[in-house]
Amino acid sequence: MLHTQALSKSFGAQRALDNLDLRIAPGEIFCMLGANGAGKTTTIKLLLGFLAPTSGRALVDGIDVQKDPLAARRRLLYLPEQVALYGELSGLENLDYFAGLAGVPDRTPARLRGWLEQAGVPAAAIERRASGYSKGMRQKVAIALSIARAARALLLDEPTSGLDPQASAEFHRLLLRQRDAGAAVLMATHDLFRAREVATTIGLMRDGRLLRTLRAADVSALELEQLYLEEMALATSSTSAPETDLKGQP
Amino acid sequence: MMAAIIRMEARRLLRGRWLPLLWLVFFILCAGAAWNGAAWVEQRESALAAIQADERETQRLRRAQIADEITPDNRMRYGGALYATAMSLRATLAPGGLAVLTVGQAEGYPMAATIHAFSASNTIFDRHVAGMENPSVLAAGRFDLAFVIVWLLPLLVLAGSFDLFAHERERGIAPWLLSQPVSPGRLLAAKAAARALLLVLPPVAILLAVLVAGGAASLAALSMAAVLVALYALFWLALALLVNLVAGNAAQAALGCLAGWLLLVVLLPALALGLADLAAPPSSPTERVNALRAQAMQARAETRAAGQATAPRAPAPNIPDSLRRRALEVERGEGLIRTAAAPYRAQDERRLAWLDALRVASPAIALQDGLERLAGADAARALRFQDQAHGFLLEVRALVGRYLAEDRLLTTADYDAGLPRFVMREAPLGERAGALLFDAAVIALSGAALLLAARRRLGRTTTFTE
Amino acid sequence: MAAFTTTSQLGLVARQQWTSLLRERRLRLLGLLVLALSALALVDAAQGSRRAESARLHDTHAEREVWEAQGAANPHGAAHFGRYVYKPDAPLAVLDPGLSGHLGRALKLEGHQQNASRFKATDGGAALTGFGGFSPAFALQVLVPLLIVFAAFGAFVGERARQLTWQEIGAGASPWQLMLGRASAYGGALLLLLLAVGALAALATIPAWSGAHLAALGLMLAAYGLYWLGFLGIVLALSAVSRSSRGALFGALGFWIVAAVLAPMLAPALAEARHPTPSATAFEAAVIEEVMKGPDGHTPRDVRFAAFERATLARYGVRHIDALPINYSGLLFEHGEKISSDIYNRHFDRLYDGHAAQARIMLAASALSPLMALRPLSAALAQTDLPAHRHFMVQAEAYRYATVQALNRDIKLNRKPGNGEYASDVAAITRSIGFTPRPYALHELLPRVAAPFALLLAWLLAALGLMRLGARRLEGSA
Repeated sequence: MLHTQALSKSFGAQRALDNLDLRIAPGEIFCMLGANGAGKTTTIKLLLGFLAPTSGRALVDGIDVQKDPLAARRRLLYLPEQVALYGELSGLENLDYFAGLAGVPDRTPARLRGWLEQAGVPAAAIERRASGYSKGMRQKVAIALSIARAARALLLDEPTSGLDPQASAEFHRLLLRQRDAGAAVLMATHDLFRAREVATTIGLMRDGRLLRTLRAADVSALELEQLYLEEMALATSSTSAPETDLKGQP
Repeated sequence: MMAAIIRMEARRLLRGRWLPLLWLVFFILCAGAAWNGAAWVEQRESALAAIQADERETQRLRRAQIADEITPDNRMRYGGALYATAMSLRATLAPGGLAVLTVGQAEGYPMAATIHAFSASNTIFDRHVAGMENPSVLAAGRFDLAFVIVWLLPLLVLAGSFDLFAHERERGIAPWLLSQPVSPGRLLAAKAAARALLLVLPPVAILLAVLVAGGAASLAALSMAAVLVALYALFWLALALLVNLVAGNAAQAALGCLAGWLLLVVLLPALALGLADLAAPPSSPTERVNALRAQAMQARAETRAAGQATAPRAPAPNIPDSLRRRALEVERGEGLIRTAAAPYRAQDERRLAWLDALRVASPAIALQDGLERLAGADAARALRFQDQAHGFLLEVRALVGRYLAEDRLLTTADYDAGLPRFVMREAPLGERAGALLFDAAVIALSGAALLLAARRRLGRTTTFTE
Repeated sequence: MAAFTTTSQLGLVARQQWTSLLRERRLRLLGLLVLALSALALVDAAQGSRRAESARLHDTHAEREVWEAQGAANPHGAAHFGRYVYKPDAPLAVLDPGLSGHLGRALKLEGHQQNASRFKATDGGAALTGFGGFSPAFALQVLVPLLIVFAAFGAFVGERARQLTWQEIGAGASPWQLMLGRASAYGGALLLLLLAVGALAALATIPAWSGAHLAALGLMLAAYGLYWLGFLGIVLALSAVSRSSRGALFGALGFWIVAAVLAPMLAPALAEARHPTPSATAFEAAVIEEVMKGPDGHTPRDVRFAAFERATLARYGVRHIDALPINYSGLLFEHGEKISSDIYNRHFDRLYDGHAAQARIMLAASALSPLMALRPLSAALAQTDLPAHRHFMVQAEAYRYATVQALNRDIKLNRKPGNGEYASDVAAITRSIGFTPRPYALHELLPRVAAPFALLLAWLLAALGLMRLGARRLEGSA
């Protein structure tokens, strides 16, 4: 479903992503673990078509993202770290708009409400202006969109950062539901423990390279942490790539 | 899908609550400007009426002199009133149909001419050239509709659209928005379309409403005005669009839009004018006056040297021969004036050609020009009037020549039948339409150039999440 | 001890602000741009002034030649032929052309009437000419405040600036110190700009250097400085009280639009509506009507005319005009000229009174906009305003009167009865009458300049008050 072939991206002399070969099947959750600047965000942006690869390909459901970005995006849902909504519109109206952009048909208020409730947005908040939403609520609207779009692939960028434990647990539940519905999920995260709980496969990234792939079922949380720190310790002895933020700026 | 985006954008914009405020502000400005314009038109019309009343009064006096006061005894004193040269006529240039739009060039050119058969053709406008208005008012710039539209409407359009996309970029909505399967080009186009509906149509409607309320009736002129103003507003929308493809946040976008306004409305036109001053400076009117005065002196010297008057005829004609000699002098003088003034005239024509050509420097200039033409306040019409007034003078001279040849005196019957009257013949529709189309083309092509640049920019960067 | 700390704290804040201001590239660029534009405009104006001066000398020479070439002519005919005088450019007009574009450069002096000056620079243009007027004064009066708006609106708003402010307050600075510190930094930058412009203006007017000239320039610069500081204070105050970056920007822009664009445009129109000036035709008609009630020197059939005739005959003790020792028509011309001059002078006085009333209203508009106080001040010092023009016109009128009366006197004294066509060497008659218009001396300008200066000071004080309020608001919100 989500497939990268020797995907590489350089910014000038800097190698942000080096020969990434990844295959995520439907129903699989792949968690990318790594420090800032490891290449997680770059991967997501390449899959979205926000960046053009220096070499290699990114494919969504067999579609080359560079050749037909719109078709690729039609199958993707991207959940940014900070979900931003139009403040002047209500949660319902925001969902209506974004779902409309994505081509979701029959966006009746009843169905919209249904999706929002499924995503866990409290009924009282649906009609309120989004400017008053908490981070968790905004994320839920994004999840409602993924439900409405029945997206076959999900790209999640640090979804649990800044969420309180309850919201985090709710997110966990919804994510598993999506997986059970057959979505392929790529999740970039720092959260080792959540990753261990929710992932099918875990990838450790460093300096733009995918160092290790392991099945989540094969390791315990503690073992995972040890492995991670080992890999990262090796990192401090070699030059590390400078940190980049989502904007790709150092 | 475009319709959905347009609908949502419109809803957002209206929710902001500043949009109706903007419309209201524009309406107040237009109403004030139109009121100002109407006051100016009224002032001008009353000034012209005073001139025409002056003409009528003089003619009435002369007629009364002929009818009541002249007897064979006092003919020596009053005789002048009997000669055709006593005809005192006026030529006036009435304000155009949409004059409330702008004062334009109407104050830089004479609005009337005093026509006496033997007055030198370069002096017929002298009495109507200098106004008495407080120059501070003139220097302040007229607060007319053209000012509001050319200078302030762009600010209005920019205020409503400067954060066309910078808003999303700043708030972080951009990446999520663009991750949806919608092409950035269509998205931006739909956003621009929503703003076009809300920032272009209402001002045009307000303008038309104000013009109609001010008494404008010509459908053709009103539609042309609507088209020009709509194109202009769309140009500024295109500028906002382009700026939004470059600026990273709302403050940068605001700065960029304001810089664009300064450049296109203040700087470029000033530079263009500077260029025109360099390449085609205006002729010096003082030099021209001195040259013509020198000519007059020379002509007089020649006449004196040419010899004495011939012996008076017998029986003495009704009209003394001195007047016939004067007629010849005037004719010769006319030739001299034409020759002496020719180089100045040519220089001025060249300057006007440059000024007209430099309309392409900025849509603001083109729009101002278009509005002036629609209002009948453009330089071309003023010069046309001057030419026709001059032609009228020559007609009157020819008429006087006939009177002189027939040795005919003026009678009350002549006054009752009506002395020659000046009628302004406006330029043919085709000529006027051509100039207006040129103005519209400048604005439209400038907007198209901006859109092309936007398209290129859109193509170069894959997305606008940076 | 506390005072020492406070001032040194203030100095610290000011210095820090100054450094960060200098380092901000965008503002540096904008400031340089404004300076470059002003310099360009100055150079252009200086060249134009030089051209105009040489044209004026050329024209004066040509006009004199034409007058001298008349040879033997009828003096009264010559009075109708008239003379032309040309208004010299004021040296500081390169900085502030004021109204000079809208006032004529030439004046026709003829018998029986007083004309308004003609050949305005704005005559005979097309759509493009409406966009002229980019003078240094425009840059200093309109563009620099816009620059101030963009530079200073973000002083206290926006995420970063707010955070920094709170940190500084937390470190022990008082909001008023912060306010003053920023104001000093920006003010310093503005002072530099002012000095640069002043130096350029001085260089551009080297031929006119004199104590009075440089003093006038100094006063102008001081006025612009007061204006800019007042503007700065208001923008800073707005920045302190606004809740959002956009609010501060729009508020400051709104103030700029009202103060620098709308008020200068609307106030004269309102003043004109309140004290309307008559159109040229109406003015002439009013004068002619009054003249018709009295002798005009051409139609010897007027009633008053007859009275004058009788009085003259009585004075000289003769029975008939032909017996007078002087030429009666000359005497009549002289008398008529005096009467019509008096009438014209009275009407012009009334016209100028109307203009002065308008000027008072426009000055009153400075309640809304400090620019309405700066503009008349700047134009007065540059001698490009209406009073300066009137000063020239009055001197020209004196010259006209002397010339025409000299010609009339010649007829009166020298035309003998029986002369068919009297001709005389008009050039010789008028050669002794010279015309050397002089501008106002500086001390003559000061009374007119005092009120606007006071108003600008009032604006500065008001801005300081607003800054104080803003600082208090900052304290509250911290």
